[in-house]
Amino acid sequence: MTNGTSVGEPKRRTLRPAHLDQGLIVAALLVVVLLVATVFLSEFATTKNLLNVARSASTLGILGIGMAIVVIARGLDLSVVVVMGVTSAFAVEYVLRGGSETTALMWAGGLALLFGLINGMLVAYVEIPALFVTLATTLLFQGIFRLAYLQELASVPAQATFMRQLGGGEVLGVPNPVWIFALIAVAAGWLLTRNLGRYLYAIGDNPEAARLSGLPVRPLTVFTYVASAVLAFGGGVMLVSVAGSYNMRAVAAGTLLYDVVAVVVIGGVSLAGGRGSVFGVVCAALLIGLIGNVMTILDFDTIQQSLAKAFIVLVAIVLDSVLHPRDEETARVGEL
Amino acid sequence: MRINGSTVRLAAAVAVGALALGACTSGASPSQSGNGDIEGAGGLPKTATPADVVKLTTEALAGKVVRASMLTDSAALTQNWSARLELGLEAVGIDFESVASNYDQQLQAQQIQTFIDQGVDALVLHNQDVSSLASLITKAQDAGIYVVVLNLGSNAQSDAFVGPNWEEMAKVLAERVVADCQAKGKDEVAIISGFGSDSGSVSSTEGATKVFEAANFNIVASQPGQYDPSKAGEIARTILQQNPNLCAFQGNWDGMMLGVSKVVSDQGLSGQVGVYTTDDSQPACDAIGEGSMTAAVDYGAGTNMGDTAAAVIKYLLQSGIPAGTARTAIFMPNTIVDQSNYTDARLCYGPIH
Repeated sequence: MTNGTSVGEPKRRTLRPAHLDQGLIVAALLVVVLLVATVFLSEFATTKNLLNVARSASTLGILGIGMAIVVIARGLDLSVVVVMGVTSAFAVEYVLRGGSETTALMWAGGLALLFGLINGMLVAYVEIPALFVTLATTLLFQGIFRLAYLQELASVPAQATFMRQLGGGEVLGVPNPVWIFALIAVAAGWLLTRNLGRYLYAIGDNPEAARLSGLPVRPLTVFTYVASAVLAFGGGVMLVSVAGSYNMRAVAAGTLLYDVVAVVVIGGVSLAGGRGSVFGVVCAALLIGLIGNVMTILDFDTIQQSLAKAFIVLVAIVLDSVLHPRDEETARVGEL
Repeated sequence: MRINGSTVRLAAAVAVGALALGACTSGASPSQSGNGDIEGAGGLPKTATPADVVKLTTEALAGKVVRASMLTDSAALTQNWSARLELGLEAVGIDFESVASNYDQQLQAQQIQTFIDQGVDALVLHNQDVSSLASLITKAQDAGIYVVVLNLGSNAQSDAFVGPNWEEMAKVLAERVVADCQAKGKDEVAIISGFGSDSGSVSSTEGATKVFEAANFNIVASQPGQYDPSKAGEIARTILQQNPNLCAFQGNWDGMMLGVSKVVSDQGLSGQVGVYTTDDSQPACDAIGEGSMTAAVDYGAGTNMGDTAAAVIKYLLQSGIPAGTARTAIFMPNTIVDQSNYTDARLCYGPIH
């Protein structure tokens, strides 16, 4: 159990800050990009624009936190984007077909719970590798609902007042999505420092040892997938609220899943489990949001955007590699 | 007469060869009516009674097999194409079915290959990219199958392309943007494309850019929204923040531009900053009705395009023209949709449940 540190580190606690949470490295990179943009781009360092950055990072950040909870316990949830898309689209479609918004959100939340339970049970009790389970359920969840219930795109109707106003509103000058992201980040960060969180790190470190020491490994594994699905539902409601519509084409063909995995990895969550923090994921999401904002201001085209994003991601990974060298833990199968 | 083993084998080989040849060529001479003026071609005789016309046409078309491969069957756009094709083709006895690939190019290629192997008479393809289906189009034509491509053309020329002239459509829309902005005394515009590098995005951006440059407008940003309303919305929010004098956003696809109109509306800028898009599915028309979207271009996607494709297929099947030789492009007319006409029943299409 290493909450943000690595097992072999005491032997190497020298000048090299290998014990640093990778989140701090990403935070430092975030500050550097922020300073460079402030110096070279007029109209960048305004409150409004910085809030835009935070807002654009919020959905990605919420999905990233859900994924991080799963990955810390040595799992993987590739269905997170589809769960987000299907549950939020279900809520919109339910209202479009004459249902009340409250009932729609309750049903959609229930669906998210069900999706999380299916993923979790298949991984924890049927013992199928998480990669295969969530790849299959991605197609299953999407296929069933697109076949039976959802259109490819639809606007959030006027009677769905909560979903219409959530994304566009603000409190104390701060957009609602930023508040929600911050609240979820604080809650998840707090949770991971409690016993429950320590158990998840323990399972991620060594599931067999965790089981032998009496931890309920299977139920806790199910919990991580349920948490991920519920957070995905929350992120999805926020996304349809911001966009004013749902769009299953973007869910099916978009690159959001790549960004979620990138945020988790850049944020220092080990894909081998047992390492990482919410702070790192939040910083990584803000970094991705910041890069997107700067590239829009600079009017980069698609190729320039891909190159710039790849460059920053590589810098983060190389920095991590230098400051946080591989050891027995990080060399395990599945580590990037 | 005594027949030895080698004679039997030879006879069998000749028979199989003849069958194979028959199978290969049956699709290559598609019309059996053969009454037209061109030797070997189909069509009707120079003079015929209405009853003869019905009889000959029915004989030429009944029992023909046409298959469509769409990228999706849950979009209102493709649902309408399939429905209008089914209506037009089955009315004259053609066996029609439509399948979808959920934007999976490999699956679509398998579907098309299966149809080619089955020896259908004509294929309707919803193309994702100008190059992805090129070899299959040629392969189908070589097998004597007519190919009609919808919406986005291919580098390999099909027997007919039915869809928009992307650049022209963007120009028509941009001209409306220019007129509206000049009336407001503004000249700053932003372009939101799809993936940016796909041919629909490239043609649309080129068309809009030409018009804006000719009008001496300032294109403050040209960004890929990746056909995603939330991404396009984020981009729009940043552009609005950086360019307070912006007059309008012009974008490529209404499903994406709904995200932009939501951002403009949330910031209380509807009416001050225009949102213009190609295509006019019902959600876009609802946004036009609410005032958050300014105008859209209708290219008959929800109605006329399916009918036009059905007409072209019926023509090809009767014509006797060998597959792969007609190579025509039929561009759909453009109509600007705004608050003055968005309730017109011929515009704005919805899903088919």
